[in-house]
Amino acid sequence: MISGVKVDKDKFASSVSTVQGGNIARSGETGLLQGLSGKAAGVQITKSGGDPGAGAYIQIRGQNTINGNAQPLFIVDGVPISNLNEYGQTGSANSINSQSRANDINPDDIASMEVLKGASAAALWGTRAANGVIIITTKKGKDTNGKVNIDFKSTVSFDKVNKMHELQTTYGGGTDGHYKQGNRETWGDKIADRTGGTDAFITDPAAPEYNGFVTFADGTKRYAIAPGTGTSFSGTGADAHGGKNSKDVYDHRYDAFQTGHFVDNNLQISGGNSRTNFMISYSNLNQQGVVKSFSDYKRNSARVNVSSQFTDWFRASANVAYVNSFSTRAQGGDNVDGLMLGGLRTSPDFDNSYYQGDYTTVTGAILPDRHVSFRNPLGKNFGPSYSNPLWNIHNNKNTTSVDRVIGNLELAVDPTDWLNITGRAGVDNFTDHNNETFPQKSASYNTGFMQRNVNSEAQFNADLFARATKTFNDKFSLILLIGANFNDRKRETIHTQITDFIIPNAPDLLTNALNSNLQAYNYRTQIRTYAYYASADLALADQLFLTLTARRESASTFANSFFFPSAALAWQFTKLDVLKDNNLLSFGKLRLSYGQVGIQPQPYLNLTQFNPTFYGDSYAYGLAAVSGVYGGGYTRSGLQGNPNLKPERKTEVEIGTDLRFLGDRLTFSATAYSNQTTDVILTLSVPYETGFSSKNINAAEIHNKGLEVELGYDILNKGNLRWNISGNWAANRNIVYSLAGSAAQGVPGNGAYGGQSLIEGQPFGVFYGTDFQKEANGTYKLDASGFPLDGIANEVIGNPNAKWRAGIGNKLEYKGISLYFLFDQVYGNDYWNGTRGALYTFGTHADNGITSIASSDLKTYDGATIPAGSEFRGQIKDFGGGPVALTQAWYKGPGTSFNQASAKQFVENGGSTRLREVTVSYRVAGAGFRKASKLSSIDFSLTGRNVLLWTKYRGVDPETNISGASLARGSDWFTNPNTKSILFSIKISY
Amino acid sequence: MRNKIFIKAVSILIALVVFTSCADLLDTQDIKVNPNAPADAPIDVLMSGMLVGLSAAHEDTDTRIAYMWAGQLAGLSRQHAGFGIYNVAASTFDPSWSTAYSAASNARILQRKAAPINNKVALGIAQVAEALLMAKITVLYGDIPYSQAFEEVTYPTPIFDKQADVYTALIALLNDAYANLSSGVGSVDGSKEFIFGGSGSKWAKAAKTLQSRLYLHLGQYANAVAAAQLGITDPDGDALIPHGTAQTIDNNLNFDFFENSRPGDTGFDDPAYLPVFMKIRLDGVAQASGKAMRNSATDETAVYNHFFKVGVYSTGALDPNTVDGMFVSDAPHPLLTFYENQLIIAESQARLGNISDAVTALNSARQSLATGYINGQFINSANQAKGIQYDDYSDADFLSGGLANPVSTGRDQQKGLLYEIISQKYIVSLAQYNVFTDVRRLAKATPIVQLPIPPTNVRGIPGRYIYPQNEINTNGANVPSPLPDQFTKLPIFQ
Repeated sequence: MISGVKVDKDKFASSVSTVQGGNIARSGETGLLQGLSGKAAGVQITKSGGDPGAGAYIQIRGQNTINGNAQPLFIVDGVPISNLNEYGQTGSANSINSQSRANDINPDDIASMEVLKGASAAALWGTRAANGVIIITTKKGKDTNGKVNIDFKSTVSFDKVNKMHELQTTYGGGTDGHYKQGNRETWGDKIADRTGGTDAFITDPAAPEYNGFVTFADGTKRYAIAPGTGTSFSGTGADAHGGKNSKDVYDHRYDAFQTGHFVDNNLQISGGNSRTNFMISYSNLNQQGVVKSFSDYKRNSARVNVSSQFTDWFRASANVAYVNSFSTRAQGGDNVDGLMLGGLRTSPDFDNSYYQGDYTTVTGAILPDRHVSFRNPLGKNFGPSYSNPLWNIHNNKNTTSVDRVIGNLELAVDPTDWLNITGRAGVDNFTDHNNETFPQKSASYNTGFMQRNVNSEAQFNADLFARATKTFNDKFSLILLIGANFNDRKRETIHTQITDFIIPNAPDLLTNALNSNLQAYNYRTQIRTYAYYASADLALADQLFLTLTARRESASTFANSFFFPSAALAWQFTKLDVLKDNNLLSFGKLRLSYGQVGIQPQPYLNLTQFNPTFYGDSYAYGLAAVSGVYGGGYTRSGLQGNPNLKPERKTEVEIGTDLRFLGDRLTFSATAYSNQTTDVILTLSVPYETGFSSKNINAAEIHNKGLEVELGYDILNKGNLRWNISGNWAANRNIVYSLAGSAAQGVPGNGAYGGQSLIEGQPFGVFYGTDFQKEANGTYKLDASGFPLDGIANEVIGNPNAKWRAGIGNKLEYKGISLYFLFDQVYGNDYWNGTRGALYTFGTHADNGITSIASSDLKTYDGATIPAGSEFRGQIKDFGGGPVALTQAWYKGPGTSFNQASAKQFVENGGSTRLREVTVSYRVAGAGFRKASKLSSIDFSLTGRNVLLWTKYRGVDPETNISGASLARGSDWFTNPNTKSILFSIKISY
Repeated sequence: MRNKIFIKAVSILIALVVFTSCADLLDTQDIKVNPNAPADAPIDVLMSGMLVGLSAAHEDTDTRIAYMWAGQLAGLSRQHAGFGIYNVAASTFDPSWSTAYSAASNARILQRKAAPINNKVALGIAQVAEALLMAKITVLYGDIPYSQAFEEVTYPTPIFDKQADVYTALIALLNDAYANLSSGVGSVDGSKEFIFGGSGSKWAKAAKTLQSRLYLHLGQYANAVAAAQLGITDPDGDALIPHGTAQTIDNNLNFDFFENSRPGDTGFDDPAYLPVFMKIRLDGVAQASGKAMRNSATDETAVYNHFFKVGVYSTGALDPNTVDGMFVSDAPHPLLTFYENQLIIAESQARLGNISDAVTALNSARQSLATGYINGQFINSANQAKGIQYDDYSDADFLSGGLANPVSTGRDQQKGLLYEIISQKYIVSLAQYNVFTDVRRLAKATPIVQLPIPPTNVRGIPGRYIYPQNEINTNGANVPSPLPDQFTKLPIFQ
């Protein structure tokens, strides 16, 4: 299917979901990808997080590739555009929510989006189409007889965090059941047992425990507090509290969060006459995120679409959009400066709102503006260990600024009435200035870190095609198309960074560090593709429709050229005489299709390279030979080159039906598909002792099969009252069929926190991790006390792929009032809650606030005994050898996700049901109103976005993912939370 | 009119298609050749890169786990709280195994480049580096791939060699390296050979010290002495990894770990045994406050304060001295040292019954320690002022009831001397993986003399590391089965 060439869906045989632009804009999402959620069967959208401007992961049907681009191809007005999900350019892993470049498109500019799911529909796009194609058509002016239509729409939204982890407020900071100021843990005393009142500060400089003090901006002072002593399982007893008297507790879940908001203004001017039409739009979005500061997203976009039929044989059109977006992004995720990490690990008895103060040393020197955190309560240390989230949001500023132009020019001539020749050229150029700064006294880089990246991408695409239409008689017609395509994509990154600032508060300058602390690199790629394609649409007796397509493609990333064919047959069987004019079954079509599409290899995989040496470590950074100390060394890359790579090839067979009943009031469409991707390029891990860690080979095979159903029913259509219900349901089964004999391969890229891996015979990206050692009968192997033995090797412990997804929409209209709501459900997916497991070790999770009474003498993990009847902090658990006590020793040992004893403990049900959208709108467009106001209409609407969520998952909204749009799905490691919103919108049309 | 346009349009179309069909479109330089990386590197450049890998392998997580399991470092939080109680899984060990074999494979590439042009110095250095890396792997993992390693075409899934065979091969490799390095043929760029600045003779001695270490593991004490006598002869010959102050580039990785990546996750409070051990006075005389004296001839308070400092990361905590001691950002990290060489001689001679020779070797190390030198640093004057004393011992000091061997220990002269030698080695080897080797080795070497390092888990001190998950996934047929857990003893220490 070539974009820009209108196709009658009733004659089309491949499965395509169409979503009207208005539905995207109405969703209340600022990004069009997120706006697509729940609206098309078989299309899965997962946000990276709730931060302003955050990107999203799209999966159509199932996963098809391992190393190739796994995201669908985006086409805007016939020209491919980039949907780059930036990666890797953060000082800490998975710390800043990445953006998706497709979200640069203003949702209000979209007339419709077509999701080409099947290989046959996408086959003409060759090696970029295996993950589906999303075709966006922007709004065009209409023949208004010269009248200019002006639409102005303004939306304001208020956003809140929609779901959070649970924390305890029963026990205070400390360890072994006693209070200890500044301790990293919250295994301290029972807060309710404290005396209450103010803390006993050690203010006497002569006292041995005197440790200086910190003075905050409001004059408040904080001194050292004497620790409690002794070990107690209950956190009680006279000695447990030391000088800590206060019973005040703080809810650290929302330390850094507020009610965010955005304002989105859209102006559209359009019109035309019989020959020429135009559409001009301008949109301004200004969002302040739910993080209290340094979290925003501003997008300005302007578009001009014009088209003119100069003569009856010559038409020209041009579409140009300019987008500028700017976003400030908070640190999150796996990062000791992350908002969630620092906040959730803080003891409930520590007040994070005092995040900065002047420390007076024991000898009386004053050290100004220290970073005060729960592990650095007096600001005594220069670094805070973990950042106070409030310090962070006021000091740690990371920005991205994108300028982008997308445009195309199309010329069409009609030399005869049956022939059309169209030439189309398009560009998509953007530059992303991507900056990250860790100021001095941040946790990750207490001497300071700054990076400046410039990422640019330029895509040029040209198509030239001729289309011949011939109707031979009323029984037979033919449309023949032949064309050529050329595509060139260039990408460049220039990276610079400094560490250890010379002047702590200098502007962001690369000169603010010694030369030895300045690092830079550049990286560029260029990919070129050219192809010839042809398609033929045959219509027989107005009931059989056959589409044949073929594409022959060559590209710089692989040798030789490859051929991608497709065939699709649609049969409108209700055109048969026996079924004609039947109101019960008013329309019926059967579809059958076959197609092949591909995935290009990434560039430059042919040769083994030598790289500047860097050896990293799991828990320390690493050594780089670029240092003057080492004189600049290179070593051979661990990735073995392969000059024989070819494109991955996906072959799909589809069968489906489209039915309409009751005079088209009830519509039903179902598609079953089965596809195999062969020659999947696998970065095959090899034994490290070969001298390589991996090599790329066309070796893996992935299978998907599934069923998609879409349904619509006009329940009521009486006078002014209309009620429509629509639904979609999709299930996909994925299997990694072959892995070239390898037992398991990690999902590539960063962020496989749940151990997401590829394993032969298993679905894509299953969680592969440890569980406690088991006997042959499946029960746990236990130690003498009844605790399970730590697991040592990995097994499959969960599956992040949903069994099915469904969406149900309802629309009720009465006169000018309409009500719309959309529910969706995700069922049968696992989610790895690493955050819960991590909080266990610190004792801040709600589960760590449980107090139990020993039912009998209970053993603890470290071999102590809790006598029967006594109270202890923790839980009673039976692993199969009788009850044992889970106490601090357990949660700091095998009971935390930091530990590799059993990752399976943290696999949870990630399924959810959500009220994704509810909108009430009212339109004023009566004749009297129009006459009085000179306006054609005013629309008011009130929308709730992501309003309600039902899930058993215990962390943040499971529709987020720590590693953004990567293939490692379904894991949580202090991911910034998702949001819900209420929006008011007014649209004035002139 | 229309026909003319038709003809023009078709000819333009054909012209364009023909033009674009030109395969030259794909032949631009940036397209065919990776513009981002070269396809080869010269010997000197490889030397620097390979040595960076060697360096990283000696300061990595495997190394920290080793000195944690030898009771030197305490695991207090997050992942290291688990490591501290010996809780590890196969996947814990992927990165370190990868670093070691990657560095060793680059050492092989270097050897293959150096041999044909007779650059024996470069060849020898790369051989010593290979031996250092493989010695580390075999002493932590036992049977390992070696004879079929680094030959990805011939042996895509290398077999695991018996540990004894690996030792034999490494000892032979070091003989070869010693001969190459002693030949004086060839040279390397001293700025890129950053361990010894290109000195073949220093590398030759280092090769012998490493060889003596391997003989010691095997209990071949006479061979150990013979090798060590050709080994590092003075502190100037210490093989040290240099560091700078640039975070993410050339920081000492222990510093980076303690200061930047994981502050407070480990430390020297309970259950770390080293600080406790350093303050135990063998004769039962009350230790003065803050003092670290083993006996009246030995005051290591300076060393203690060089190693540890109170309250760096948490109030009152005994933390690594990242401020003015052993773990500052540009502190060199030892690969092979004069102290190790002398203490190998001392222990081997003691085990061979040559008490005087053992005492002489021990004293030579002590004389250097008395200058405040350790691992390329001199203990600063403030810390030296807290107490530094290493009097020469006499043989009689180790007789039962002698200065260094109180009657209460119940040890005879040989055992008393051995106890002092292993004590000194345990202390000066802080932060090296060898301390974990010695803990396991001393449980077997006869006569058995061990430090009373308390295990942190009822299952006892581990005997080995677990084969990495990547090895199980990619070379499963060759990985020993059933997969040995961390409490299984290695063949040479059984």
